[in-house]
Amino acid sequence: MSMRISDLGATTAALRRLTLHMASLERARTDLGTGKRIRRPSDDIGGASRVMSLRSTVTANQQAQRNVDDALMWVNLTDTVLQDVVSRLHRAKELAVAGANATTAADGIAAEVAALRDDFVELANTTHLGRGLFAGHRAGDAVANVAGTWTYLGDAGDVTRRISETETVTVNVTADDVFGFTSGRDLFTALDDLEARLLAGDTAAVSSSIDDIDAALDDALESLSRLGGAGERLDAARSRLSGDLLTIQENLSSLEDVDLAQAVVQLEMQQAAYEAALAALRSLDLSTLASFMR
Amino acid sequence: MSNFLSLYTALSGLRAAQTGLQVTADNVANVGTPGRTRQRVDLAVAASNYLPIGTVGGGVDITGVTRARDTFLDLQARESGASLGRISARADVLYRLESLFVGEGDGIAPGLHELWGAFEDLANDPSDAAARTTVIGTLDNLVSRIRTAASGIDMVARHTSAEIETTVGEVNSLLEQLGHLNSQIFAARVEGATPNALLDQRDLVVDQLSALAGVRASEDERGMMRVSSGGVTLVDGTTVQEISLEADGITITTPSGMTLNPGGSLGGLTGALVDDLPTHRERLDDFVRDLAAALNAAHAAGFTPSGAAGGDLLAFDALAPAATLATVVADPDEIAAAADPAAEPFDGGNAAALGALRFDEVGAGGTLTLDDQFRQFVVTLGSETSSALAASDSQEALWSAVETSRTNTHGVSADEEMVMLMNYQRSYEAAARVMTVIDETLEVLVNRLGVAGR
Repeated sequence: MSMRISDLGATTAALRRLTLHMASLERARTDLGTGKRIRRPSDDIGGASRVMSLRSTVTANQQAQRNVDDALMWVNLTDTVLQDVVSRLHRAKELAVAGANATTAADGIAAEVAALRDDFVELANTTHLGRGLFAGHRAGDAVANVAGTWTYLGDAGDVTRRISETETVTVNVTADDVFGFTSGRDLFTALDDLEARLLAGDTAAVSSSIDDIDAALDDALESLSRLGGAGERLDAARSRLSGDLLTIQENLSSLEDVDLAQAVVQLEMQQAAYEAALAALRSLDLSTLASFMR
Repeated sequence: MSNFLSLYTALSGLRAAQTGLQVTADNVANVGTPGRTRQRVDLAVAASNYLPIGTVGGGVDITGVTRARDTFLDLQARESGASLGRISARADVLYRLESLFVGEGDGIAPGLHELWGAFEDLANDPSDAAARTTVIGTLDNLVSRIRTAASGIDMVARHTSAEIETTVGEVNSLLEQLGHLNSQIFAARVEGATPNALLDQRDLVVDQLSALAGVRASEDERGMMRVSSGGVTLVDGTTVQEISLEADGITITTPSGMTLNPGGSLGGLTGALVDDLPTHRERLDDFVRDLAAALNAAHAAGFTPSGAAGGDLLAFDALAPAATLATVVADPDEIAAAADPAAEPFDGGNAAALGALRFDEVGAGGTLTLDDQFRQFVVTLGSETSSALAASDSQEALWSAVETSRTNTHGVSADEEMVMLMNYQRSYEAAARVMTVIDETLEVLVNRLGVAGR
């Protein structure tokens, strides 16, 4: 079929082509200007879906990192206190050994033992952000002398932190465990006894206190190693989380960010196409038979 | 034979050329007028003069001035225009709806993430009053974003209704015009005239009606355009059935009580209002129901600082969950962070459980996490929008191709008119020359005869 072209048809078609080119050009400009490839879900459904899902993962990851940091603070603080406890226990043992070998009444040693016991009470009642490090979930002191008996006032509550979707880490130890309440012979009563035995000059009994202190040392060291295990898990979680985050963010960027080089080339191409369409429109304007008639 | 007879024959040539020039001038003047059909002078050999010695041609007859119209192309362009109207109107509504949820659901997804984070921060430090206040703040934030989205959907629905109303008005005005044109065209034809300009106008009106309401149009035996939509006649001759929008804002009826099932933009708009908007609103409502149920259930398992069990965090009206969602807790001490009522204030077990809802498949009937349920909502809306936009683009290309070929066939070509101009000019000159020659022969006959030898 021979194609008939009318002037209105030709200009309308040219105008439409021009509009289409202009729209493509505008899209290329916006891509480059915003730097984003996906500006609304319909731009790329699969991409938009993955972006949203990755963002969920990113925020869960960032929260887990916050949890890990918080947990590490707990663990490190508790660790410092426990190191203090252990070194003071060594001193208590030295004093007990000295007392066991003393020939005279050991008033001076007894006084130092009493002071050490007070230190232990203070260490057991260490607080962090207003809460007892060793009191489980309870408020207030973890250890106190209630009507002549040393008592653990806290509970067995675990302080846990989430470090991944499925994993939690327990970051606390209780004074119950650290100071031997659970094993039936707490450190504070043992030191009270030691003080009394020293004052009485009962060297045989003082020797038996050495065993008590050894048992307390075992308890404290066990708590320390439990904390150490938690610390290692936390360190591992931290490096895994930050590694994951980096990968996810790279993924995110490749999904939603414009490849700059490609975007620039695209823009140039669209610009050239637009100019070509303009040139075509101009040639349309020039040629009619009327210009050649006289 | 009579010399005067030849004068008349030449005169018919002059007239034909003159009319041709006139039609050409008119065509050229309308080279850019939309809807204009180029016109042609129809010429025919005039009745012969029967002379005793035989027949001699009697010149040319102008049988009419007709439009070069291809009704098949009209039919194609109108059908295509009606589809375009329907598809693009629906795509426009979906695009507006999607605009409410660009940039990660416009804050709802990040709002959810912030809420999970706030719960976990509270779990890490359950006695911290600021952490409790933050939980309430993030809840309020999420609720207000959801309500903004819900009222956005309502707004899109209202705008669509308003557009339907306006379109109904436009359709009625066009139906009115069509009835009018029908009667004018009929009157002109009765008088034997060819009302080409009116016919062009009427074709334009039918084009617009097709795009707006997807009507079927055909010329009846009297030459009047009959227009119907889905079997319901809207214009029959000069009788016009004005359509009206019922109070529900969706149903369109005729005075005779027939319900119209229109195509074109009107069909696209009502379709979007009846199907698309309610579907997506319902999906958002489902998400809100699951969100509130999961949060309230998890919260009820815990205990507040005063030892009471946790009350509801969120509440809504069952008729419109997303639009009426509200935070119930206002006092930070109403947050049930503890899992063990005796262990306050340092037990964050329930806050941790609330934070862990992030990973729990509690949405969409226990198949998706809430994050994923909302993502599905956005993605479904996005994919429907994207396919509607793609369909609209391709229909636009199709329509434009048909429309261009129609304009090319019907429209005026300046070059062609220039050729016709030369043609008629030469005809005129030649006919005038014939006349001069006949005149000169008559001059010989009248003035020179009988003066021989003088």
